Amino acid sequence: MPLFEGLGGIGLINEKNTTVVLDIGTAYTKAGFAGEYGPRIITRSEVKCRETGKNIPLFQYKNENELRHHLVDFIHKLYFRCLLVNPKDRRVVVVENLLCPTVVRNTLAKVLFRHYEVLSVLFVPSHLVALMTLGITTGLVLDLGHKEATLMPIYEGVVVFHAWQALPFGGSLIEKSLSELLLDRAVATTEDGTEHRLSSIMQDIPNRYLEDIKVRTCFVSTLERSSCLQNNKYDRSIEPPPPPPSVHYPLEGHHILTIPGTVRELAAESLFERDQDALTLATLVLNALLKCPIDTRHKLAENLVIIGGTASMKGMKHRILAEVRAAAASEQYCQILPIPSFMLHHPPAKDNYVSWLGGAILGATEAVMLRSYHRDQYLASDVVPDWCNLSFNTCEDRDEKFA
Amino acid sequence: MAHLFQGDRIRLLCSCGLLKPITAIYFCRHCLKLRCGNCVSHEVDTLFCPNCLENMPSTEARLKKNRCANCFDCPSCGHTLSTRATSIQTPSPEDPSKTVARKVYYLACTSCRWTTRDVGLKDQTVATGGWVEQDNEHYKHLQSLLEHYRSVAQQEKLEREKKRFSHRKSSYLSLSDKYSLPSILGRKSLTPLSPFAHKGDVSQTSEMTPLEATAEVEGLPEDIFTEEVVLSSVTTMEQRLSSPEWQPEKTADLYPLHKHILVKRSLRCRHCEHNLSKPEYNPSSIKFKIQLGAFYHVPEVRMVRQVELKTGVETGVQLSLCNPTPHDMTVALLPFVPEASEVSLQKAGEESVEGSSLNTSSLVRVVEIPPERTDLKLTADVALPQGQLILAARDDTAEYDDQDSSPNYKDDPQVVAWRRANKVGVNLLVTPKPDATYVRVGFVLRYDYTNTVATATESRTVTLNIPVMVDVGPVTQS
Repeated sequence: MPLFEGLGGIGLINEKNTTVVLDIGTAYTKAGFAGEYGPRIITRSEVKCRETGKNIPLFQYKNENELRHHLVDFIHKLYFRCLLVNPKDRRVVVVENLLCPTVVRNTLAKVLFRHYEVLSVLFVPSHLVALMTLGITTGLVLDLGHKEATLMPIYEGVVVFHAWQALPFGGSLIEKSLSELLLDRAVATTEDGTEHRLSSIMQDIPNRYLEDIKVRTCFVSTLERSSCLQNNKYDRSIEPPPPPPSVHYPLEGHHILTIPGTVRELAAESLFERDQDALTLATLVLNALLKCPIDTRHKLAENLVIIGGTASMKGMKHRILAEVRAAAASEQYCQILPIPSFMLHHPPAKDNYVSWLGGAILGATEAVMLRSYHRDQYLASDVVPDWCNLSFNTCEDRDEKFA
Repeated sequence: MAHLFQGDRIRLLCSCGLLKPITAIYFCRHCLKLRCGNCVSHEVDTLFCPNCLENMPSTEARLKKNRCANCFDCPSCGHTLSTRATSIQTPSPEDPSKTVARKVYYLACTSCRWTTRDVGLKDQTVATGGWVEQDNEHYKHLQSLLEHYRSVAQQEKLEREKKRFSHRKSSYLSLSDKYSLPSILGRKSLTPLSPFAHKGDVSQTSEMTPLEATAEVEGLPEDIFTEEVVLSSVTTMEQRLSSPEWQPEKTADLYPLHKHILVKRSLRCRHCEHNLSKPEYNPSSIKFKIQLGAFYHVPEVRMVRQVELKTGVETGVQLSLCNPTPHDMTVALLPFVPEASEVSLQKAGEESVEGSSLNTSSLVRVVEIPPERTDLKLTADVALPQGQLILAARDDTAEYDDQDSSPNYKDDPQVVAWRRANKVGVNLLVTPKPDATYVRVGFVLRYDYTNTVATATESRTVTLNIPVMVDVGPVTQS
């Protein structure tokens, strides 16, 4: 039979073992196949706890062993419920943040190689591959995730690593401030028609409601309105802009929660308020530019890319761009960072799977075979090469690569 | 929760080191070891649609992105959509002044009442299929990107292959390549995936237009500060993510989803590559071709009744042992020492690696999973019945016999409390340790297993040891 199949057969075999692309995020995981234009599945990064049977976040663990169990169960679900392929002897591309904890990376490799016996794993930096979806090689990539915002400048395909920036400003921060605002201001109507303050009914709002309220009702206000509201805080004589209409939200089946318009507008403001180090998303961008070589700054500023699930919130990109421009014109930066224009890219995908798409494009090329880490290599040493591990990232190593 | 096999109370220690109930454990007849879901390799066996129960070959599933062509899910609630027929009046093709009734079909959800008419999809004239698929709006761009990066990677590969054959040590490699190799091919393959590649070289790779950045971004819609939000018209996160490529934000943009297919899994022992579980091919059958559950091979232990336990007081706990195999079995209970069992487990692991060469070809390399660590702390001292006892073979007709026809075993009444068909009751004496609130005892079940594998050349019966942990119950404070 193989005699007659010829070249077509070989092609089929390659096709059959399509590389799997995984982007495991704090809140949501994107999974699919290389060469496709969208992930097969975007699922919550949650696993059933082996002891209690409750759904818990994937990255909530006490020790490495527990994390490994979580990953084993989670990847099992991905392969046998979503992707429906055999993990064994199939290549995997893992899209990971360069700032991802070593323990997560090592455990993931252990699970993939030892439990699922995959053929090879290629870890690709999420910020870098996000640029591949645009077809450009230079860009300032800001990833707004669930837990944090991370930023990497990339110049001609090289990550300017010492200019990385990160702040714990992500979706979870919005949810936290939303929860505080709701407990402070929202009113709930119970079954008998009486109105109560929300804080008198429940101490804290379950996360799934917070996420739902955030996604369906909240938005990021414009810079003008926001500064107007800020001024109002300090000087009551300044009239605040009229608040957006409030929303009636059914909560747990027996309460009607009235979400005031101000809460809808203010929930995301926490991303733009200066923290104790006077840092915001805008200063994140500008500080990264300051750390980059002076000749690269103009080009980087004209190639901003904002990705990540939180970026798809209504008005978010517009606001970040406005904030960056305002901060660049402020006293703090206008002398040291004279940048005439900031421009933003629009990736050909929904914001939450841009990096995944980059990984899928890379995974469909032969680079996967050349650059991945093979199972035999792993089983021989039990370690994964990493940029922060000095036994791999040395001068000789680099020289060899360029020779 | 009451459970037929007391899965929450009685657990066996699998060869990988996890404690599992007997219902979650397999017994490999070739390695003669317990295996569980953690230490077997899972494989996709057959793909099928859970709604129409139709098998789907894996090539077809790949093309259809693991979705059934005919069945749809509701994009609003996830329930299966059903086809509804209705007739409409349309102008007759022959005489436009007359109207004729025509049957048309649409999809409706019986759970949340969503229909394809809600979102403005046209009714279909055929009962199945005919629904237009959604396209990715960035298809063209992504396709050109893919081709571009494929050719870049191809060139990188050529480059590497060339390097392998040229002088390795030369630091002037690129120069020597440029000037000494006259071939055009040599010149061409100089395009590396290097970040500092000459701009001119890009022309050799396939056409690709990078996207342009813009100075302006789409801001908030004008009416957001004045318009009321109608919650039912905004999709939830689940609704959005069920079609990852489109992620509609308004319920008016929802589109029927093709039903995701499911798989039947088969399980394979990692050490000897034999199947432990293999389902039948037919999707509507729930039977197995191969099912080596421990329940069919390992004596089953159950607690007969709940007893009251007091700290420091010796209490009798009755266990029943049941022989599921059609062969008589000699059973003994041995004390369980957690530390020793760990060592023996490791030893057993090593042996099995060596032993596996007997069963399978030596080409098979076993990838060991990391050892599991389970808390095996015992909270009571246990006095086990001494000596051996014989468990009668299972006989399905025994239940229907009026009188006890089993042959007389010379049982030591100290060991055997009662005997019925293939079951035997034994008494343990449990003394809860001080400051224990919940009693857990352990013992090693030693039994003679009759090997049923046809190819087994050595002695047919093997003595096996299986550690068993029993959660006897809470301690009442006296």
